[in-house]
Amino acid sequence: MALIPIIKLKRNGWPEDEPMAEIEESLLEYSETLIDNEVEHTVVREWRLDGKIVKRGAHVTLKKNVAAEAMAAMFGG
Amino acid sequence: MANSQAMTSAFKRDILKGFHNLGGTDNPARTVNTSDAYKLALYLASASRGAGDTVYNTTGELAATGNYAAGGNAVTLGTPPTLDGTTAHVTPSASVTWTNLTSSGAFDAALLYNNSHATKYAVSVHTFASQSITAADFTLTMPTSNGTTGLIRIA
Repeated sequence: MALIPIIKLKRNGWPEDEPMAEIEESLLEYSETLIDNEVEHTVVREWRLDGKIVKRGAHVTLKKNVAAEAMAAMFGG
Repeated sequence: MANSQAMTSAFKRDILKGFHNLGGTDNPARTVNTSDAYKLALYLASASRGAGDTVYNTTGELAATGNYAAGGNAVTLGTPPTLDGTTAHVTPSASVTWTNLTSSGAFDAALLYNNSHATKYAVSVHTFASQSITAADFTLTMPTSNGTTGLIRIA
C-alpha cells in the first residue's frame, strides 16, 4: 500500500480547491504522455481520480539551445 | 503575448563587459576568480520573456506558492565553458528540479540569470510545451554538452 500526495484544484475540474492530502495510489488512474520534437523530449505523468487530475508532473529534457552567431572584427576595408 | 526562446541581447553585451563567469577558475581578467551563481526562474505562458530581457524580474513569474520560491532554483555549472571546434559552449551539469510543485498556472519558459550580482543579469530564455504541475515534481534536464547542442553557444 503506497500513499501519495494529491491535491484537488478547480483548474483540474474539481468544485473547489482542496488542501493537499494523501491517497492510496492504487485508487488512481495513471497515464503518461510523451512530447518529442526538435525543442524538447518531455514525459508528462498524470494521476486521475474520478476522471479529474489530482497529481501531474513533468520531466522536460531541453534539446534546442540558444546561440550567438559568429562575431567578426574587421579593421579598415 | 508569448515567451520566446533566445539568448538575451543584453547577455551578448554583458559578456563583452565581463559581467559573467559561467564557470572555471582560470580567469585572469577577474580579481575575484570564481564562477558566478546562476538560477532558473519559471514564467507563465502568458508572460513575454525573450531576447529583450535584460535582468531577472518577477513580471510573469510563477507565484511563490505551492513550493515555488520567487527567483527559481539554483543551477549547477559543473564544467566550465569550453570549445568544440570553433564553437564555445556551456551547459549546466545537472538537472534542475522543483519538488512537489503545484504551479500557480500554466508555464512554458525558464529564464537563466546571474544571481551573483545585485543586478540579476539575464542570460537566456528557454521555452517548452506549456505545463501545469499539480502536487508533483517538475524537472528540467539539460541538453548534451557539446558545440552542437550545448545550452549556451557562441558559434
